Amino acid sequence: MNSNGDLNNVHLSPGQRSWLRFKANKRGYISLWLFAILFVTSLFAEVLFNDKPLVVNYQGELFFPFLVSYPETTFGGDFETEADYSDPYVRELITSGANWVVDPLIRFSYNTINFRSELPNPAPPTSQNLLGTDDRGRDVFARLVYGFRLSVLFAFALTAIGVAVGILAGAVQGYFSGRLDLIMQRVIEVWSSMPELYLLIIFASIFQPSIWLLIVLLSLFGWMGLSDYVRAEFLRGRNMDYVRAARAMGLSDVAIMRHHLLPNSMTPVITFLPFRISGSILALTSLDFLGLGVPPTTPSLGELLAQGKENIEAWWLSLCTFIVLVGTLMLLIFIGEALREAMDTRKH
Amino acid sequence: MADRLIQVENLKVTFKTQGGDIEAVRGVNFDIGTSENVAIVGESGSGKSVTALSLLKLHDPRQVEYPDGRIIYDGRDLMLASDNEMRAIRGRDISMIFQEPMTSLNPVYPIGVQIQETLKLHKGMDREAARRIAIELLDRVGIREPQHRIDAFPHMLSGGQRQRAMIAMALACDPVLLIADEPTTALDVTVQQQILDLLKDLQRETGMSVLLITHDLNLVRRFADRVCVMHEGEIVEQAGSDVLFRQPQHDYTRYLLDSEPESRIAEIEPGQETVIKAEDIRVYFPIKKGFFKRKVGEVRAVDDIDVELRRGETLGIVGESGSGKTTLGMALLRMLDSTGTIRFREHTISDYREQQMRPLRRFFQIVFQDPFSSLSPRMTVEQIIGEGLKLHYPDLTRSQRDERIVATLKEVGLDKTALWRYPHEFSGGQRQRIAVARTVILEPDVILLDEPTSALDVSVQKQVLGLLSELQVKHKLSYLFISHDLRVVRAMSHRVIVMRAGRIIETGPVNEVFENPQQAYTRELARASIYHQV
Repeated sequence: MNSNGDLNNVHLSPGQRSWLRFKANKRGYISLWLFAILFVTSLFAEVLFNDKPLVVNYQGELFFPFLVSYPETTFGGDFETEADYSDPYVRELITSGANWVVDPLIRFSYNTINFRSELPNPAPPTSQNLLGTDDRGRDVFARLVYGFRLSVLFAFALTAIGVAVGILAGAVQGYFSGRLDLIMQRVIEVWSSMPELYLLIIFASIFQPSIWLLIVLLSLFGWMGLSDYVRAEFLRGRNMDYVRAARAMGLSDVAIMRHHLLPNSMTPVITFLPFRISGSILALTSLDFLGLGVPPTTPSLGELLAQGKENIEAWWLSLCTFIVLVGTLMLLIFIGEALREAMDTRKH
Repeated sequence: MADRLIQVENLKVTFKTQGGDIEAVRGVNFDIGTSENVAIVGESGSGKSVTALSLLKLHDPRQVEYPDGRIIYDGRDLMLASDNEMRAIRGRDISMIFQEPMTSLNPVYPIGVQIQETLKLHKGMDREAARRIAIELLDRVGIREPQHRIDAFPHMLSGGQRQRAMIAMALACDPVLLIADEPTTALDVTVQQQILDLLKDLQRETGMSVLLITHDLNLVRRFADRVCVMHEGEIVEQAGSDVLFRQPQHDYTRYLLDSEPESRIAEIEPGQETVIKAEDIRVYFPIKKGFFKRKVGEVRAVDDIDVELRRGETLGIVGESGSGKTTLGMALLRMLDSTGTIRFREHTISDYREQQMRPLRRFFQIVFQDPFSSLSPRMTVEQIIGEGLKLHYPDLTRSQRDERIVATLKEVGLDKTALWRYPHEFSGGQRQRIAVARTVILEPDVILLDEPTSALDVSVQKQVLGLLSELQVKHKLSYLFISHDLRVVRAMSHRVIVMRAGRIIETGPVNEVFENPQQAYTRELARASIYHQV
């Protein structure tokens, strides 16, 4: 690969050169593609894994059950409640005659219970449930896909908040230093000595557990490790000549921090980014595993692992979850590695 | 010849990098006789330090290869010597001193301990004996009160003293060859001369040989018996010192000799307005002690100084490190708090708050000494130069801005392919041009040049000085020219201020001050700079 020749091409913009550097790391590049495909696919999980059909043509009229909830009576049934499309009676109603149905790829959502399985739950993989079912008869494949999506989104959100707060706090401390720095540093020391896990346990018993509560609680503590590094970088950078030159140019403090100090302080941020993301996924997984995380109906990798532990003979539970978890973490680490190289403008 | 101490034959050194191999040294031949002073002179990147380090095989073997060459010392080829054999030679037979005495001494040990270490290692002395010898050595290298200083930590010594301690360390085992890699570059001019005199005296006393590595050709004139001029990994000329300076054979040698700064002082038209007028400028730094930061004293970095600068004029500010030159410059541009009045045109800027200063900032710009730290490594040249434009000329469209950036780049001698590149892709001289472009694009009135050429090679220095004086004439710029290098100041300034310990000790037109110095200190400075000259 002729990456060196490309990189020395002076007509490329900085962004294009970063992209070339990223591509030069093949493992990271392939990981990015794999991850992107998996993640984008999981974003459309409702279309692919659902117990409700996508489109129903009933008596010449179009219905979209996966978006809108229709009572069974719409299709000539008996009940006022939402139609259960896996019920053979309902199915016959909407497929008889000129009526037709477009089904999702897999006809199970993350909390669809397969009542029609002949095997006891948890059931091993069958042609119906490709990766088997869990102890409540829910499809493992669907739960994995939804759980993966939730984990990744959760990790992105947590990382974004943690990085933003960490950079802001570190930047303010490092740039203004002096008394402000001293006070903030003491506050951080006190705050970081709070027992995080106990707080989580206490809050989990006081409040209704939800993903939002978890994000808030974990964000309250997640930013501190990073702010120390950013603070150190800013402290070092604020006396550099290029910062003095920027001050001589008349730039405001905010502009100096944003355009001069921040890009030069990104090394620890970028370096820790993949570990933060995978750390967040692990945090969610382990809290779920302990039962302190999301409510039980929410699809979650940690809950699947806990089930795997409870039903050790149901190998499909633990094995599949393990593969998804390790695969995700590995892809993220590889991408992060390539990203770090791409962001290093001094590297050819 | 029988008295050849060390012979280097066809030495080649190659650096292995990801982008391919770089031939740093391409077949160098030279020798050093017993009690001979040899100098290797060359600009940065010429391979002179690499050659010197190869003598001791101090390179990282994972990065460096020696495709060819022999180094004959004491009847054997050092190239074939094992690591253990090399360790026995290093420090005992051949020792080395480095450019930056602050970083080459370990800051957590007193200097005495570091000197004793060599003695204990190579001569197997016990503590008492080693300490006694260390005191003797310190005395020999001219450190006063050696019995007290031996317990001083490196940061407690001045730059010159540190270099003396370094030399004492190198001399501990009576080496037959001392390699001095730019031993004076980081020091003040007056100290430079003392160190060279010391080396020469010691050499005469002990009969060792000295290999001096330097970029400053004129520095070696008095010192070396023989000079090798290196250029791009090869020795282009090798001759006795007196012959080389009288009749340089090679073009490159002549080019180096010719690179001395020449006078470039442009006439100022009479009646030019005063741009900056400052009176009674003082900058005191408080010394605080104890838990409650009680003020126990103050450092008078700048003490009661008056400055006047006219349009198109260059005011040289000379003095040794720590004399307050830079502090004065920064205070005049209101980058530091000071007392006294500073007037810029009709503004009394000493009373202005930072908010009020910001729109005026465009008129005062700074070019720093180190072109490596003065450009943000994460910004492209376009961003670096364009940033000030965006701030002070917000009305420009993107294409107008680009046009001006390209025009300014052209003015400083760079073309527009530089736009999207990062600072690390440029040489020191080019970076300094970018730093200059960043300042002149704002059409300033005053530029503070803080040692703008000290970090550059002589030939590049000359080009940058030429550029600066061209720009001065063209844009009627006023320069505050800070330097410890009197040759450069003399070549550039209309008037000079000589500073010492925060005070002006002499001031006046440049020729008067240099040709007829009134103060002993100025005379000493002038003498030290003449030492370099023809």
